Amino acid sequence: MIPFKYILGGLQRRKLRTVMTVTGIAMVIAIYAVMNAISTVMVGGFQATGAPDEVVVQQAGAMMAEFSNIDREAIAYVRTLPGVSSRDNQPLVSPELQLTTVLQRDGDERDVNLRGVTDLAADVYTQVSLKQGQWPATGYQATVGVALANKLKLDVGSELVIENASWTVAGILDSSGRIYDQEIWVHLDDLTAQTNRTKYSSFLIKTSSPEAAAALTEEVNSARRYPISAMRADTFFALQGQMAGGIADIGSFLATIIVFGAVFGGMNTMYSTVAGRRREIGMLRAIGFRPRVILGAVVLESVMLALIAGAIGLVLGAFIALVPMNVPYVAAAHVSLGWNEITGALVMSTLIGVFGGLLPAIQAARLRIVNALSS
Amino acid sequence: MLTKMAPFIWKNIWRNKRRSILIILGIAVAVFVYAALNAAVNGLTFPIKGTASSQILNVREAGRAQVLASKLPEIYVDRVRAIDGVQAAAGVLTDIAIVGTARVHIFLRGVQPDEYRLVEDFIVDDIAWENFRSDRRAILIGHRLQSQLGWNIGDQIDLGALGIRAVIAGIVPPQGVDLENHLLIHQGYFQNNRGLEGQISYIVVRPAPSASPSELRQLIDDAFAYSPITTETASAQEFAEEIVNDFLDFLVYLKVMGVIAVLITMLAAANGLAMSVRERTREIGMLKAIGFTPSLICGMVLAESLLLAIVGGFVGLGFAWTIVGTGGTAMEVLALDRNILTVGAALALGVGILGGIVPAINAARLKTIDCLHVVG
Repeated sequence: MIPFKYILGGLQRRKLRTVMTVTGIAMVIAIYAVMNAISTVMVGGFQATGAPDEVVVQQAGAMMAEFSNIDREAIAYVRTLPGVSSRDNQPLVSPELQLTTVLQRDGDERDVNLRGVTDLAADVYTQVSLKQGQWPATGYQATVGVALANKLKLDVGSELVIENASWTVAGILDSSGRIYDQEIWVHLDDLTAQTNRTKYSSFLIKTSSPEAAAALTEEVNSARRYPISAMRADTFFALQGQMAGGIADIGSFLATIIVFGAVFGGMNTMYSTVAGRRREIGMLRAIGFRPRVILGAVVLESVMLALIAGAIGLVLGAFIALVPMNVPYVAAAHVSLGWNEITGALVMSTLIGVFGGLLPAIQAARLRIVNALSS
Repeated sequence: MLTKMAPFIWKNIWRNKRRSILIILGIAVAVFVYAALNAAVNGLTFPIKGTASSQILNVREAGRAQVLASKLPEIYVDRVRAIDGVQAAAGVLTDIAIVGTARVHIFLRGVQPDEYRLVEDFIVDDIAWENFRSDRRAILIGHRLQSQLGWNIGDQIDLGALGIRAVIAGIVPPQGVDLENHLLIHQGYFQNNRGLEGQISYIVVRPAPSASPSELRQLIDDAFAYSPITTETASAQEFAEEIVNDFLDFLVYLKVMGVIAVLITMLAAANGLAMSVRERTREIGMLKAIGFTPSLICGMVLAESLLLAIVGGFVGLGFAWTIVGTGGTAMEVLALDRNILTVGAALALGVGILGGIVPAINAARLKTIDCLHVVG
């Protein structure tokens, strides 16, 4: 095996070429890592949301909750559907009004999902718990999701201006990573009055089991009593995640293609490296190193180059991730390079190194000693 | 002189086939990324942004994060009409539907036909218009929609999820208005269907010739300043851009990525060219010895670089073309247009020039005697 020092030494020669190649690969890896991180943030929250025993009801054909309008009288029908759980004789159906609102605070401006709920929400949303304070009651009180609260440094008692009115934070909710952590919940009646919207956006129904949820969904969609459509919550949020992910996918797809560009660049460098060291390779062969060892050394040099570049790229990516960004669907997005992204980036770097160096390495291994020595 | 050298330059490029191909491929990748990216942006935004008018004003509910979620009471239209400087005003109720197996997004516009035509005076066949006016269930579709969905005049269509059944009365021909991507439907029928009686999304306004649009905007917003629902008035163009921004905030990052992709390629191309110059030091020395002037050498290297870039650009754009088409393929959201092709070509040339200039100058500056000393 060729000593490590030799391989490292190879990198030190032709500094400019090495630096340029490293810079190129680093930038590619930075983009790749950031795109993956964004994708994770956008999709992750949705995938965790939505239990199989919950059903989401929206207006038939509505693209998003905000564009969904359901007549309020429909609630009587929904409450009497088979399979709806109840508590203290109250059917667990949460009628909601959802809006995207622009939240301005201390120079920060972001789009936040506003959810107007009734007192029933506490019982319907079994996966959401109160970290502090209380559920939204009338009187312009708001309960803020924990991720959003942390991002904007909100606490019980903080004042918020939403939809041209002043609201007081009365509680902080925690849904363990679900999208509700990014939302602001207020009382339905207050939101209705403030925004003049007299229809519901959606219902969230709690049923007794996933099977009951499936049956209820089927009942709503086939009966067509009102122009509403139902979907099991896990499917619903998975689809939302897909929509969000679709956008992120474009980014990831293009980042992957750029990686090819990096591979070509790396290959060029390695070919040139090999060409410049023909004599040296000839000598190594002459003193007994076998072809496959030479191959290994060239590939290893290429991989090391790529890994160094990858590490630099990750650092660069970490800085890029700090730039505040309005990630669609996720108001308090915390784009950071987690283990997933780091591993992905290092794997990608290695692949760039391997593929960039493989063909030149094969060429180097095949050099006939005589030709190499006389060059 | 340089043109005489063309065959020589061409041969030079192909002397090291591998390197040249790699440089070409690298440039092709960057150009492809640029083209595909912008094609995606184009396809997604053009139906909205491409043709919005700058004369017509748009009055919407103030403060909505998603401007398309704007909701105004129908009675506002009469109030707007009464404002000095307003020549015509019409309420519009919008929604988006996803139709067909191709999952085409269509914007529906619920309007009162006569009122609307006074504001947006578009060209349409008289008979088609009359058929639309007189039948409550009739719709007019933009010609782009027609080509995307294959609908024809007289077709009874079912906008499935929305539960709307309609008959196509006519097609809005090409004329550079955003209507070409939309569907006009009777406002009352649409309202009944969606349970939105008495409600519209926004109001479009045609200012009187003598009125100043900027002053009129303020006048309109002032008129509703103390009403329960306040308004925000902007030009139709600005409104369209807001819609796009709402959905595609993320685009900024994709665009930055596109720029970085180009930068990376420039680096790679420059690297490749520099390497090629370095390896031909001896040859360059010989050329200089036989009388090639430094500027000629510089020109040659630059020409090589440009040629490689042009080929790379072709390959990249060509690949983008096959994958994306010009709108209407499997990835129907993507559309490659003349603008993208031109800029893509310019980018390739730019990479060629910027990537090759330093190696070219260096090559020109090489001292003949140093070159000839080099072994191997």
